[in-house]
Amino acid sequence: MRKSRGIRAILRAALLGCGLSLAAGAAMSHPVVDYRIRAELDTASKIVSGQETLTWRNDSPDTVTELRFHLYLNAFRNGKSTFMREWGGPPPGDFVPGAIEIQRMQVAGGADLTRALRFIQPDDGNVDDRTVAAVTLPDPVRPGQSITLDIAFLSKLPKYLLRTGFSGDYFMVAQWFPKLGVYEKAGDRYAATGAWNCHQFHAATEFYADYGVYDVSVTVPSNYVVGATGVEQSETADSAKRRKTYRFYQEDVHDFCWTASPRFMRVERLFEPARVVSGAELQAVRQLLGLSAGELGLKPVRMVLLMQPEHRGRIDRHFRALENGLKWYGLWYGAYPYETITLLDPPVGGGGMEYPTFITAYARGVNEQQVESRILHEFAHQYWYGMVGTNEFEEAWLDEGFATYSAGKLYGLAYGERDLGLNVLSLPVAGFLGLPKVSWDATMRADYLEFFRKRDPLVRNGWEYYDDESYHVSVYARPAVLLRTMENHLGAPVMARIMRAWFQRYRFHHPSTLDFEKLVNEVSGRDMGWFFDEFVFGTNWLNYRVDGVECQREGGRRPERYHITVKLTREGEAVFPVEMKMTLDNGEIVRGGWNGRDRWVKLEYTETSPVKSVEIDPERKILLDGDFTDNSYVTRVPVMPFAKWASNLLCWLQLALP
Amino acid sequence: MTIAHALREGFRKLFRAWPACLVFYAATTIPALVMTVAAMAVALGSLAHSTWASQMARSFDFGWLWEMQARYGVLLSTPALIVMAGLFCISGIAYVFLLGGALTLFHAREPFSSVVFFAGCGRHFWRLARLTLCAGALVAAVAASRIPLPFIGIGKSGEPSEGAWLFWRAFRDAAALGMGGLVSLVFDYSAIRLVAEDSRHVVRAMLASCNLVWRCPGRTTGLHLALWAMALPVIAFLALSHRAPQTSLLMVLALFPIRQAAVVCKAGARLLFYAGQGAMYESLAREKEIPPGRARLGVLIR
Repeated sequence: MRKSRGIRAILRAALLGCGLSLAAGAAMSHPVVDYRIRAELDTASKIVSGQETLTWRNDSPDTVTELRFHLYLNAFRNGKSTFMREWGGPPPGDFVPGAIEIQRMQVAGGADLTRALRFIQPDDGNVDDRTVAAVTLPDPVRPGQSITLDIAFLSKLPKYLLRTGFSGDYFMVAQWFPKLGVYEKAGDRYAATGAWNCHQFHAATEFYADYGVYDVSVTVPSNYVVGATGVEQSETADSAKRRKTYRFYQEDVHDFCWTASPRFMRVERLFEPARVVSGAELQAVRQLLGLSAGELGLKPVRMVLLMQPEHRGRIDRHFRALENGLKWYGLWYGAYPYETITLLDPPVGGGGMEYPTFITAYARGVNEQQVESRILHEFAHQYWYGMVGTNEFEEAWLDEGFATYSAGKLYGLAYGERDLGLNVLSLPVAGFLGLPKVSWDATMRADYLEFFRKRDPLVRNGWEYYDDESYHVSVYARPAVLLRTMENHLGAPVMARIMRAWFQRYRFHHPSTLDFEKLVNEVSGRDMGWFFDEFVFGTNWLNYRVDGVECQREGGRRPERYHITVKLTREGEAVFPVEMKMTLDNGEIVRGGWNGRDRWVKLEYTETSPVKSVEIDPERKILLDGDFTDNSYVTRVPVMPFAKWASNLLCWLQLALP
Repeated sequence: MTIAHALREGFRKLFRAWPACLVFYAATTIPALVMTVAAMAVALGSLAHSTWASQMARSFDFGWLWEMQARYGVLLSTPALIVMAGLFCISGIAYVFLLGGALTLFHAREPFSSVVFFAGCGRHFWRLARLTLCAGALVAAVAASRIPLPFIGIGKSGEPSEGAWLFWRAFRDAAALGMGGLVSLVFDYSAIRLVAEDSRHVVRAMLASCNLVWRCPGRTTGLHLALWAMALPVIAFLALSHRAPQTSLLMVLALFPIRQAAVVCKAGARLLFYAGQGAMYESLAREKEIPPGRARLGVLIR
């Protein structure tokens, strides 16, 4: 049975037949690669057999004599791969290895390259790692020329491990086909000369590839439901073999992932901007960005949810989270340009993952608020990774950090503050007990604080961080805190324009941190180089404190005059201009500032009332500050808060003690 | 004896020995006060001259705890945890010590006398301590069984779905709650029996209590549940009293004595368990011709 999906699909099919050049004409990106893959899943042996036709266009001024491929399933081959070494070895017990084997690689209508393939280890020289292969071409590819390869491969899926594999009848098929690296010409990102950027598969980082066209057909048992990157073009059943073939097509993406299981409950809804975006919301964003309503136009998007049947009660919440992402990221940064987004609720895994037009968000046993923040985070990756194609290996903060920052802002807007995930006998009790809620900023800052004096700059190869914890904090929480601080420093409208310009200018490109720095300077009209030097490329930290306040009445004068001396100090190497707020007993507020450059400063005032309190950074704009408790000084200790806490604590302890 | 009769008898015993409530209140309050003073010293050291304290007066900000953790790390948290654990242990030991006195008073049906009370404390401390250790081991076993139960259940049913997971988790929690309640019930009757019979045989007392609960499940568990139903409102009040508006020092001070009265009630509610269940034990012992041991206890009291 073949289902037609309308004129658009027919047009697409016609375009496909015309090859890369025509596809490029309709694309938003400047497509460099074209993948046509026919894959068949054997659910018994857990093997995907594939036929791939790959076309690569040399977009550089160099003559290229070699191609480099990611063969990332080989990371699961044994305990000796770089991934396994970084990850601490195969899981004990039921480890089922996975691998990819190229059976044949041939230039279309030309030489067989299979024997010319060799494994290389550009990152660590680990000869046991087979996640990158290189092949020297018999005929070099000249600038502007293309080369087409026919590849036959077998991908043996591992038992589900981290992000890929099978678990029972569930298949998560990611990093499963031979995929080209990125040929960076001189001047691209940090490249001094033209060269392949094709890293090995690492425990924490795995994404960097060129944009192009993916036309993938997947054959599975007929009772399996399939979800994948891109738009489903057709579904063809072979009743004799009890197999079904799904065909997906997508332009302007840099990866292709798919999943299959007979247990998925597939639900589809349409994101309709006119229904979802209110006039007030549109007006607010228009004011923030200074744009017309036309420039903020969003597109309808087909939302596909692949749900575990037992989670059907959460369907509305999943869709609402997706709609929030489509709406707010679309308004803030730019419309989501693809026709579809697929959200997978996986039965195993934990966490979430991002692939072009396809995200996963693990939901079992997770505090429900976390599921929503997870969906918002993974969907934010459609922008920061999916469309703004930064190099996750070398600058992971540009996708994970930006996604964390974006999701945090959106979560606060759409859902407010969060309960503590406190459960007693599986029952969430934080709300019932009236425990205070926490903001996203506060949770991010908590992670940041643990590592703020530590060793790594934000920009670093993902596998070269001091340890896993340093990687995670430096890639998720620290960038989120840093971007929030930048927003507070520059102002929300400026930051909103920066983020929008970042997306609009660099979508379907491979920008670097330096590009972001230039853009920040350009949009804000200020030189923020110091900020990047200290906190992005450097490891500087800061802590400003009010060291002391003295207040002396000037003798015998009428009206009363008080001489107030305020001492402020700076700890750490970083410098940040700070505001100061002094409140007098009569309620008068005196504001001042300090450029923060010296190690300390003594400020002197003569006022008509004694001082009540002094605060630096009173609105807590500098979230990078290492300690908020010393940011203020009150001359008289307030009794009430301490009496209240003492009373509450005593009561709880009396309740808890036998 | 019916549950209502046991409750009535329990109240009578408790009223006769009401100063015991104050002794238990003091035993709870002193370590709580030590911990509170220590915690407040840290809070004052960090926030006494910070505007953050006033800002947090309305709603506590967990951010402060994270700031403290970041600043002091294990230097602060480890000693604090050790001190807390130590004080919990001391409080537990004090409770077991005082329990012997309370049970002696309830069993003798005499008004509170410090001589009788503390003589009972001393006489029964070690046997009650051994009983507590045995009960603690059982509680630990119940707690440990919570962890693998869902995995075992899912493994048996072969269904790794969310529904199965939720079912087995709920089953685990219900089972743990039930088992915990049973251990508490057995502990109470064992303690009562040890004092009533002036016995040192802890295991025998536990087995006899299990036998008692097995033979009379309705009355023993029913009374236990009834006592819990009476204690729960006090516990709920204490757990939720912080939600009362404390927007000024006056209101904090006004709420304080009410809360302390509730803590006294909590001590009384716990003693009511022993008084009521003691009455039930004596009644069941008479029914089954279990020697109540009153004569032997009488020697001690005289």
